[in-house]
Order: sequence, then C-alpha cells, then structure tokens
Amino acid sequence: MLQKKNNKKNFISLIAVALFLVLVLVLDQIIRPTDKMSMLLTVLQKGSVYALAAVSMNLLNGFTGLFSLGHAGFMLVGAYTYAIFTIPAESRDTVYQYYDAAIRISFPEVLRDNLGAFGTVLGVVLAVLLAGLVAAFFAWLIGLPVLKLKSDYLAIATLGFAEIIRAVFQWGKLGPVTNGSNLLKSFERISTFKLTLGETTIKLSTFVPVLIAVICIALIVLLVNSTYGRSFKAIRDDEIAAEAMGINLAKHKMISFVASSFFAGISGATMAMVLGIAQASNFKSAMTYEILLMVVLGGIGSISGSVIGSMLFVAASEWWLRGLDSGVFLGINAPGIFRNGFRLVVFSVIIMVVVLFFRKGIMGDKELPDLLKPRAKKASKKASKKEVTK
Amino acid sequence: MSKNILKVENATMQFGGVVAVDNLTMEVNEGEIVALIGPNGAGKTTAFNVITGVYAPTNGTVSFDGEMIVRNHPHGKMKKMYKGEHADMYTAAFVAEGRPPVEDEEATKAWNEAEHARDPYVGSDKVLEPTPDKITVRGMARTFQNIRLWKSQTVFDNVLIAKHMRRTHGLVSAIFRFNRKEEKQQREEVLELLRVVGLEDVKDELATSLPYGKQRRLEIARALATNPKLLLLDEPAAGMNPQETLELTKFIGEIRDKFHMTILLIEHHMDLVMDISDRIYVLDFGKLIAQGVPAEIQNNERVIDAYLGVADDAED
Repeated sequence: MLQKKNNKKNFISLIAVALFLVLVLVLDQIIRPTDKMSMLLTVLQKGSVYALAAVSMNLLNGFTGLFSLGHAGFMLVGAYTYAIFTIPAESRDTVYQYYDAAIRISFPEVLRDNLGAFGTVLGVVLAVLLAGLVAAFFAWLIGLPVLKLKSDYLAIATLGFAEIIRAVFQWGKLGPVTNGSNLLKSFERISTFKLTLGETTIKLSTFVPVLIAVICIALIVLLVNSTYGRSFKAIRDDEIAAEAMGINLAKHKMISFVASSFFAGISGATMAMVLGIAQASNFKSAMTYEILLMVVLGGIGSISGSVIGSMLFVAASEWWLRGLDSGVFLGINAPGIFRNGFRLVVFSVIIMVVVLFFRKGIMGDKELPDLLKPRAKKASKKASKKEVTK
Repeated sequence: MSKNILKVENATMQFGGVVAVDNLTMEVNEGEIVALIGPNGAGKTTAFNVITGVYAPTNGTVSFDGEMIVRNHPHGKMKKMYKGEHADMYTAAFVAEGRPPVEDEEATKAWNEAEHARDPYVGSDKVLEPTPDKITVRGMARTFQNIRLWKSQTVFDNVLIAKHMRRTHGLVSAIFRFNRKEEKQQREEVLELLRVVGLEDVKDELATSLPYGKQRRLEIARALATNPKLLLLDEPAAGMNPQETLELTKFIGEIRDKFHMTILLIEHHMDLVMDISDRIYVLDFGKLIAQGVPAEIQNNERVIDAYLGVADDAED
C-alpha cells in the first residue's frame, strides 16, 4: 500500500515538474526583454543556477553531514572548463589578447561542422559534462587528504582550497589556459540558444538553464533516495554506528563529495552560460556563503527547500528589493533613504526574521510532496477514531 | 567440539601508559552464548572495540571464522612504552620456544605447520588493522552500550540501511534503479526481520520515538540485518528494569535459536548472564581472572572477591 502511495506521489511530482518546464518555455516566448516582467526570466535563469548549486551543497552538508565550504571553488572550475571549451576560433585571439591560447578546440564549433545544428547542442552538452567531470576530479584530488577531517576543520580546509584555486586560476603563468586575471567571454551563452522550426524561432534562453538544473536536481534526488543516499544519512546521523554496520566511511564520504562537486561544476558552467562571462574574481568565498544561506533558509536536508530558498533569495536580491537601492520602493519615492546599500540592510533583517521564525528553514527536512501527506494521515486517524468510538 | 568462530590471542590494548586490556586470550565457538563480565573499567568494552576494529590492539591477534583479521605488535612510540607481555611475538624477531631439532625433519615440519595454524604470518612484521566496516562485512555485527540508532530515520530505514553493505550493485545502477529487484528483496527481508523481532507495528515511527526497551531491540535487529555469524552485544540490558531484562533474556535466547546465532555479550545483570550464557570470561583491571561455565564462575573465589561479592542471603 505504501508503495502505491509513493508511486502516486512520484507521479504528481513528475507532472508538476513537466508543467513547470512547459510554463518556462511559454514565458520565454511571451516576455520581451523590454517588459517589466523580464526580471522574472532573469530570476529563473540565475535562480536555477543557484538552486543547483544549493542542492549540490545540500547533498554534502545536509545529507552527508560534511560541512564543506569549497563550493565556489568547484563552480569556478566548472565555469572555466565550460568557457574554455566553447570559445569559437574566430574570437579566441581577442579573448586571449595577452596570451597565446593553449587550448584550441571548441566543442560546439567542431561538432557543428560535422553534424550541423545538432552538433552545437551536443557540443554544449559535452562541455557542460566536462565541466562537471573536471570539478569532480579536483574534488577527488583534494578529498583524499581533506575528508579525514571533521566539522569545522573540514570547512576551513575546503574554504582554503576554494581560495587557492581562485588564485591559481588568476596566475599569469597559466594565462594561455585561463587567460590570467582577465575574463573569458564570447563563448556559447543562453541568449544564442534558439530552436528554428521553419519560420518560427523558439527562444530557449531561460529554458536551457532551467532544464539543466531540473535534470541535475532529479539525479540528486534519485541519488539521495537510493541505497547510497540512505547510507549518507546514516553517516550524518551517527558515523560510528554507520561504520559498525559495514558502511565504508572513506568511500561513501568521497562519493558524496565528488558527486556534490560534479553538480557544483555543472552549476558553475550554467552560471557562465547565463552571465556570458567567466571570471575568477566572481567566485569568492562570499558566493559559498550565499549558497550556504540558501541551503539554511530552505532547510538543511531538504532538496525542495534548497530550490525554494535559492529562488526566493535570487528573486528578493535581484528583483523585489531592487527599489531599495534605486530610490523608489513600493511606490514610495524617498531617494534619501532608498539609496545604494539600503537593500542589503533590509535583506539582512528579512533573513534574520526568517531564521528566527523558521528555525529549521522554510521546509525543515521535509520535501514538497510530503506536504500532500499530512492530510491523508489525519483522515486515517479520524477513521480509526471513529472505529474506536463505535 | 563445534567450530571455533572467534579467537582472540594475547590481545593487549595500551592507551599511553594505561593498559586497558592486558594479554587477553579467549575464544567463542559456533552456536555458543559467551558472556564477558567484570567490574566497571575492567576493559570489557575496550576488548569489544578491539575485536570489532574500532581500535587496533597494541599487540595481539584476532581471528574470525578461521582467518586472522587483526594482527599488530608494538611499534613506533609504543615500542618503548609497551608494558604488556609477548612484545615481539608478532614481529620478525620472534623466536619460538620448543622448536624440535633440525635433524628431525618430520617433527620440524609438523611444528612448522602448527605454528602457521596458530599464526599464518608467524615470523613477520605483518600488521592487519581493518576498519570496523570491513570486519562487519566479514560477518560480525555489534550493538553499542549507549544506543546508537540513526536518529532521523524510521525504524524500517534503520534496519534497511544495515542491508546496504550486502549490495551487489554499484553507484550508477543504484541511481538509475537498476537494482530494483535487490532493493525489493531487501525490503522484504527487513519486513520479515521486523516481524520476527516484534517491531513490525512501529516500522514507520522515528527510531528515537520508541521506548527504551524497543530501541535496544531495534539495535539488535539492525545488527542482525547484516546477516552476521557472530553477534556482539555491549550491555544489552543496561538501564532496563527487571521485567524488561527478563524479556530481553528471552529475546536473546530466541535469536540464538531462530538465527542459529553465536553471541558474545557484555553484561552487568547477573541473572541474565547466568541464565543464558554457556561460558563466561571474567575481566578485572584488563586481565582475565577466570573463565568457565556459569556454575564455576559463581563459586570462583577470585571472581567473588573482585566482582560478584557475596549475596545477602548467603551470609546468613
């Protein structure tokens, strides 16, 4: 019976996600860049990048109980990998203006020459996957020594890694690959993603990042609910008991760390895609803290919580509270108060209030589909009560 | 004589200058219930931790199911500090006594074989110190003195997670659910196990919301889910009232009969110990002071002095 209920729940969730994707696709067509509502698209684009980053961080911090703060570092690796392998030949020399570019291959370009438009898509997909894999490789390398550490020590070690990797990517000697401290640009970005069917062109600039996030988050959900995900939770709850029950700590922590970094790398690649630039100085530790904040706001150990948390975070900071910085907010015109920086003050206050009232985050450790459940439980309780009174 | 399943030889565990377990030698045979008793601080739990791989012993070996799984000798800093016996028994410097004269080839061969049966790595510096999970995979499962259930998981999931180590599928096939069959089978096994131990009606409750006695029961069920050959119970009746202790005694007996389980347990409730154990080992200050069947232990002067004391009604 439980199985049946779960199947129904999964089915409803699937339909909801599919509807959401269709809605995004439709919004992508009807909202013009000049519209006021165009901010909604920006929020969806950036929100999906951050949602993926937050969920992948949650996999590590929330589900496996490894407090790691190296996320910005892995996103940086992903963003650079994606950028480097999608810069077309004609703009390579203008991008690498001070260096002699070492990597002279662009996946979408090479594949387009051979396979046509489909090749471009495949090239982008390959570059995104490679971004994840390179980030995962870095994670494996530093995971070997670092995962022996616990709690605060692990956090500091991974934070150190993120800072070091940022410095390394800005290092002049690596210029031919990373373009030193200059930014990478002119690569495949979302505004160029279109689908041409005869005369109509369908814009995909919001759909693509959202789709990437949905696919990756679905994979993480599958991982978390698999037998491996269950043992991650066991490690989080009690490491000693987990080890005594035959769960190899080193191996499982490494799996979680590498998987988390893989998806962080992909989210970094998506971020490069959305922003159209990749620059190491963007991936400061402040970015890790922002992601951590989204995770905590949404609820540690809740995937839908992380998604909601990051969407709200991005919407508030990019859209709803913009007016606080630019003079007019909610129709009140007070340039004296609403000037640069005031947004951050209000934002901090809101976050403090949310954290005070939702101590375990918005979702706690529940998922959205779980919200369908209590009603059923209450109903069955009522039924059993009736039986008793009879 | 039934088969020897666990054999601890000359195990010494020294923390800094403190010798917690001193030259412990014991064995557990298949199908037996063996109790390890002794006053607080005698080193019972340390002995457990040595057997299950939580600590690598300073010196000594542990063999399980006919295979040596733990072997160590004092090395590094411990070399100078070591206070126990047999310091070089498990090193290359070991010179065995009783070696027959070299001319007697047959005797030499037999002696060599006997030495290798006792210690397959005899005369080498071989160190074996597997992590606890590797030992559990071999078929040894334990419970803890202070209950260590996975707090955020349901009763069912607590037992199901213990099945994880018996998986045959890798990560990718687990993510894409190619292991559906195995998963279904595991779920059925868990349900069956919960039915046997009498926790089926609370399977969807959070593990920590159960009453104390049932949490103990769940911890034993979780250990059983790993399909062990040897079950180690660390003070299963700690904090239980006489009624619960009685039920637990019955339960442990049932487990032995139903699962043909071999059990090694640490316990302070003497009623329980004397009732169900086949043999008893008594530790005091890390040293083995007595061993034997319950009746022998009850009348052993040293054990009475060190631990049991004299019952009030016996004094009259």
